[in-house]
Amino acid sequence: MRFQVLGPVRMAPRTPTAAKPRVVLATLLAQSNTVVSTHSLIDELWGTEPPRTAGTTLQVYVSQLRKALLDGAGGDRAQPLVTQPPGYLIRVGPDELDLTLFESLRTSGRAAFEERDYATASRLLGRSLALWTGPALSGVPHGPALQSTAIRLDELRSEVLEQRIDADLRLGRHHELIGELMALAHEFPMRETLHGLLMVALYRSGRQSDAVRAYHRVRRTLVDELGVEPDTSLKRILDRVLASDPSLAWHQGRAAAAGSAPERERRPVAAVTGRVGAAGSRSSGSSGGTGRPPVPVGSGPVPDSPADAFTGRTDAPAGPLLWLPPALSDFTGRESELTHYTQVLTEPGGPRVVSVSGRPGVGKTALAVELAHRVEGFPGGRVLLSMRDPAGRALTPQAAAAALLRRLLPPGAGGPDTPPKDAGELADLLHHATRGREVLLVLDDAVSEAQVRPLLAAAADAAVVLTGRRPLAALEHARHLVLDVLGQQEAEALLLATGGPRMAQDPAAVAEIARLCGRLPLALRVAAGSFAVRPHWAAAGLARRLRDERTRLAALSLGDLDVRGGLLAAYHEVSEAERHAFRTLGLAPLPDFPLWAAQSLLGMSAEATEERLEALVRAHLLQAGPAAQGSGPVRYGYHTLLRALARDMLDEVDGAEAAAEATARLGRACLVRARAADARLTPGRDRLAGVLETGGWDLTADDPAVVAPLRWFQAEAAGLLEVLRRLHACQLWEPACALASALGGYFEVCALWDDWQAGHELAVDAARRSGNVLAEAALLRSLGDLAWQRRDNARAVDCHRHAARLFALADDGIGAARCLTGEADVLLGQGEPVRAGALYGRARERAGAEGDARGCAEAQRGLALVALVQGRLADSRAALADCARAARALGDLRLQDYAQRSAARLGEPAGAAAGLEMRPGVWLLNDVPVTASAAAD
Amino acid sequence: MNLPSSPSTGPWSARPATALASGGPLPAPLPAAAFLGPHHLVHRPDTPEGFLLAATPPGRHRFGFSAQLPEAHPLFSDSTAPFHDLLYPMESLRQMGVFAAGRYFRVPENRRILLADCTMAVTALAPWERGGAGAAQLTLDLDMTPADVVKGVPRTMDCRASIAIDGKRCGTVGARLVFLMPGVYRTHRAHSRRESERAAQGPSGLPAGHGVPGPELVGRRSPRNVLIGLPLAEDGDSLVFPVDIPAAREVLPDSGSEVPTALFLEVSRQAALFGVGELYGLAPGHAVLTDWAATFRGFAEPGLPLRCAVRPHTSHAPGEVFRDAAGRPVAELGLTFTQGSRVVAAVRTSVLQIC
Repeated sequence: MRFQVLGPVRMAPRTPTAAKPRVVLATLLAQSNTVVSTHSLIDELWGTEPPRTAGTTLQVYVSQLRKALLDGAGGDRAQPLVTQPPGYLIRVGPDELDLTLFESLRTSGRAAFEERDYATASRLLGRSLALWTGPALSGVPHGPALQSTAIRLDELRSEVLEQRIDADLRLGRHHELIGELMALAHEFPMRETLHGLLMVALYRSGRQSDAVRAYHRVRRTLVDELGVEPDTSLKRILDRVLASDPSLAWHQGRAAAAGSAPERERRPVAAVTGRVGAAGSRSSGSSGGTGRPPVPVGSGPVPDSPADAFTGRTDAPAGPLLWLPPALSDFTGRESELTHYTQVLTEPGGPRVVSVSGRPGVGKTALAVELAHRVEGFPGGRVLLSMRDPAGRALTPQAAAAALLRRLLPPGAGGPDTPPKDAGELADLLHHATRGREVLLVLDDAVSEAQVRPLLAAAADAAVVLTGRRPLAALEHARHLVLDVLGQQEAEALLLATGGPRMAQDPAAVAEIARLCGRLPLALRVAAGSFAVRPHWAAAGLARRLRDERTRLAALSLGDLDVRGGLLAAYHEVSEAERHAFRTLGLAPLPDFPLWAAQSLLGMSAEATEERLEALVRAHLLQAGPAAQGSGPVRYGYHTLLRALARDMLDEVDGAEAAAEATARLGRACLVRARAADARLTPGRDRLAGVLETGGWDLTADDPAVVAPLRWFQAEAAGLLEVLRRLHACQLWEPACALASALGGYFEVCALWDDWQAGHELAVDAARRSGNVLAEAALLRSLGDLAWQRRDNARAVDCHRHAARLFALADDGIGAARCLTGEADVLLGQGEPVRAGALYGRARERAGAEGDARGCAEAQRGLALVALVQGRLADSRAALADCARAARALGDLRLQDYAQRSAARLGEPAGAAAGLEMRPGVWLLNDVPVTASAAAD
Repeated sequence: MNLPSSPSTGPWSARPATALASGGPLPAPLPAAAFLGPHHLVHRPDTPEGFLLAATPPGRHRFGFSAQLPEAHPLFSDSTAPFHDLLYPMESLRQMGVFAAGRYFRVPENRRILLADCTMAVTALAPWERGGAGAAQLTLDLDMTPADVVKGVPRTMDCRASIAIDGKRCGTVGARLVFLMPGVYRTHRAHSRRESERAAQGPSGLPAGHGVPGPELVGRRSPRNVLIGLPLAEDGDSLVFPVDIPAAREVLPDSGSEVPTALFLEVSRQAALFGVGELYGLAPGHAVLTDWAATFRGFAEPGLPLRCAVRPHTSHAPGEVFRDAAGRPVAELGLTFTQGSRVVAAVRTSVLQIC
């Protein structure tokens, strides 16, 4: 079936995930092969308030739909959705739409019923009901047309259902019908026809008093709700029940002889169903029929739940066994997985075992159930079995085999009353029950290969979908699907599908909620469900509630759906050592972290740490992936909700002291590497490089921080900044200052202004709290450079002067001299080369006296610039040469190259006019006071 | 042919201005240097070679731009609405693109650098408000991506930037630059000139005796900064304004021999503000452009008359406005710049009434 509207609207091979295109599809399918006007479609999509771009947007939806319609089709396939004024038309073949087939079966079934061929009627009507997978046209928002069509179709379904029950009653199936009828009477408490049928079924089953009670129940409802008495036909049935009317009872002999209900028996039922005239007149005097005997119910699989019976799937004599939860009407996404594994399960001759694994809440079971519903074939049935008991304990292979056997072969349908205890006998029976039968088994929440291997061996002919948190990697011939979280678009679509129309009013909030839920389907459903039942909430409010990581898990709880509980189950499955690692690694920086960070947090060897990490990855408590640049060592990270759980558990189990100790270790590891990288990027810059002993933490020469410092900083900077924040929060003042200072060079050369400011301001606070004058001076000087880069001249001068005073207090002449250079840079940019030159000169003298090669190089750079803007090109060239020499001595290739290219640029006629490169990569543009003689020189 | 065009040679161009095609002598344009004031452009290297050696293999480069927004500029500080001028970041982006083209993308000096299209959007209005203590700090986080690279030299470049004022993100701006060989430029320019001359006659300023709107009607306070005349005629649902090119060349930067890019933004703003007053009954003195997107289709000749037609956005019913989340009216307009019958630029813009 290519198109489905009797339930969630679907289209094979791929249903559009967005709601609006599905509305268009549903509207066109509801009127297939008929032109639906553009206006009708716009009304359906937006009601009375279409957007101004409604026409264009509709065209976009149609275009998306057309693309989806041709997906998977051969190139020569004609487009079924055609434009035909005044709108669009979808061409659907008779066997492509479930609604068409439903209508056809319904017509044939009614005809058979009228010919008193009740067995055929029951079968055909049962088949037509089996096409239904949920409320008509569900899963899409309803406009006026879809609303009325859905009501009409649901009403048709009820009629067909009543007629099928009527036929079954005439076939003597009153015992089997009671459960179904009770469920229906409960669902439709004021539908008198159903209650009448129930009374008859109860009466024929010898439950006269229950039949009377059923009457009084419906009467009370009608009187209470509507203030009316039941209609006369229902009262007549009551009278006949009370009178023990034998003509209302079931008479096997006559029914068997006629192949249909005899006239006397049929009459009251016809009266109940309100079809007295038609059925009564046609059946008058008839005793014939098709002559086919009624199919004994016991000969086929028996529905074990009212829900299965209600769907009408299993009580049709030829219907397949179905023991699955209903498919989710709002199942969203995973189309490529479904398509691929549908093929795998139906591949002739191929291994038909699919193992789905993934972290808790990722939707493994939902996917397996959806797959089981979607996949075609399997006339032998589709059965789901949970591989754990209600207490969460894993079933033994024998218990699982016995449970499976009960579902495949119930007692009375060929199965034993009590399954054998012997494993071998069980395996034999299971083998017998599945051999050549085309059965699909869903073994849900399997715990190990050992648990499922005996079942797979016994049911070798069956196709099997396994789900489990851990991948059952050792299973032979299994295809493995490690299910990840949804894509951002799919996650948003799920929120919209489950959160109701209010959710769609704020797309930005929806996107944020999806991110905050880590795109985990369970969390998304809980978030959307919480939202849907609180009409006073706005989507932005929900996003705000989820924003705080500390309270996020608590907010994701709804009824029996508890995200935290689901995640905790996985946590409790691993060993205590792994749980400890899981908790402690929650202190690692976001979004991911390298092995060395984990090693420092856990205080273990690299090998032991890696082993622990991999165990957590296998348990889906951590995730691992390549570095962002696509190469380099593996990085580890948490799903956002698992990280929240890790932090929760760390607080709960280990306490703040252990967290602070681990943070200090991490801070030290970060500092060692940041300093090593900084020493390569901007050698001699960090005035705090000697503070806080890091001996014993030496890095190897091939450490990424040493080999590729820029790349290392690019990969780690965000995490280092987070560690800095955490050090500050733990009042680890000295490491916080030292780390910020070590990061300063990278922030400066890459002009990462926001991070630079945030990190340094935090560290200045740490320096002040700890009374560390030198640290405050170094950090303020760096902030002066930041202000200078940003052309905030007043602040730059303030910072440099304040830093110079503090350096003097700390007796650091080198730092104080460098502040002069910083201030001079500001003055030069303000068009004051003379004052700038004086400061550069003093800085050079002091740096020389202190033996500070970097200070000398920087001061020479400034003097060269002053000479340039004053038109003294020869002096400029000489100063640049000195700068290059000092930079070379320092090992600062970047500064050396800057000095050399600046010197080369002096020879270009318009070089200076094209901007002044004040420091490497920092250009002062416009209003540079370049004299005419400079260009002429 | 949809020529990427319109003006601009960059802030530091040493190229001499060519003679104007027609019309009387025009005032010398202000040098671009004096337009933005001093500012920093900082290269953000993300490769080892870019970091160590300032090597420039073709590829995306990132920059930070920082400057203080002018507080007492004759143009930028002259608006009736208390907001910083959109023109400043737009012009900053253009000038930085032109600078980086030569310095970081090795576009030869002799290439003519033209603007094919540009866009701008205000994403948060509050940071744009003037009047805080001290000068406001403008920051642009720039991404420049070359395209159509031939022999290591790009033929076009996409420039995109997010705008922050005093550290608060508040907008985006983008432009596509095209680098033309001199011969190609001359051919296209001559073709455009011939087309314009065939289609448009007369002086480049306002028609003789034509009135000028009061500055407050175009969102300015000084009459010096009014660059359009009163509407010429009402053509259906459009208002057609004559553009005062000589006046524009006195107040806008970097005109050279061409109509400056900034003219299109400034004139479209003035015409849009006047237009929202006429077409929607809004108060132009308290209105601000929140979205602006222009596509240039050929050269405009500074010596020929230029017209700007303003009409409500085609998807609107005339007289209708939308409202933003705060309930303030937003008018959407389409503007077309023409010389005679030749369209030289098309603009879409949104105007928000501040209330």
